Amino acid sequence: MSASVGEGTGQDVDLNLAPIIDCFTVLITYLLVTASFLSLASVDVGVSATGSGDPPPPDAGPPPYIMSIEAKGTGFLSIHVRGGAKSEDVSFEVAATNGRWNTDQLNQRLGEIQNRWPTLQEVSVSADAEVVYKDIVQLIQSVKKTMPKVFISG
Amino acid sequence: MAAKKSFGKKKSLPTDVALQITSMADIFMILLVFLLKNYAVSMTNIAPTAHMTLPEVEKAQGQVKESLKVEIAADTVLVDQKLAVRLNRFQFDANEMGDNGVSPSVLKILKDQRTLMPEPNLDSALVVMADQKTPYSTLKRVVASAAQAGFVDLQLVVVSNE
Repeated sequence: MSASVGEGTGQDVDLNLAPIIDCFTVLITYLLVTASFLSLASVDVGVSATGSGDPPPPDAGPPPYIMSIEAKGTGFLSIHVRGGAKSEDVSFEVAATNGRWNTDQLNQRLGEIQNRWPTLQEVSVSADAEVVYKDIVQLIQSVKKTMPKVFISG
Repeated sequence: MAAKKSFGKKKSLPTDVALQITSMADIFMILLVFLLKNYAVSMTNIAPTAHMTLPEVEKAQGQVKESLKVEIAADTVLVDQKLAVRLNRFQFDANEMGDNGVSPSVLKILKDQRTLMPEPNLDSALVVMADQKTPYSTLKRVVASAAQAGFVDLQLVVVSNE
């Protein structure tokens, strides 16, 4: 690479690219070695309360509705809704498809539940002891499409 | 067969050969810009320390924020890259079956980490990196320990499939 400097002097100056190339080579090698091409993301969940807390005051009104999903290792999903003025306790079952959880039907059920109890915005997810983490995370991600706030039973 | 004889005038080869590195510099510049743009600028080290395979989840878009990190692998539970407890194929030992479903060792190290945090020590966020084969019973014990130590906002780190 050459450039002309000075007005009318006609001097040709060669830019020395070799040290620049050296720097680039070192930088690129470092960046390639340390770069992570995995796209990591997070699934945000809360921890649902365990144990017995303080009882609510007597004039606190009707207990709020609480929804929980139990994921069975056999592929069944059971949804429980409890609470309200009449102390309702309603259960729904989502049958397995080829031994796996049917998340489409689960989301359909959750949509129906939301229509029936519009104040319900949270769900607590628990599973059988042998259910693996990968399946739990995928279930949570699926539930989040309908219920944005998900808790894990701790 | 007689070899063909060339009677043409021999061309003299140039003795001074200059390597054309301008194009190479261009390529390097483009590579460098691409790599710098893709380089994580965050100070949080979310690369797993223990040998584990993170679960793959479709269209997970939550960003991993900087906070205390817990890793669950087949043989260890690490808190902030320090060994909290050893596992036997994802299972806790009998002496780690504490009250309320917590692991005493994990609870202790999490409480210790909380005391190291700057005042007022109220950060409730925890980054959880677990192997995809971790059973729910083990995850539940770690989560219960975290909740008892005051960490109730969990970020489950996954590999995003888009």
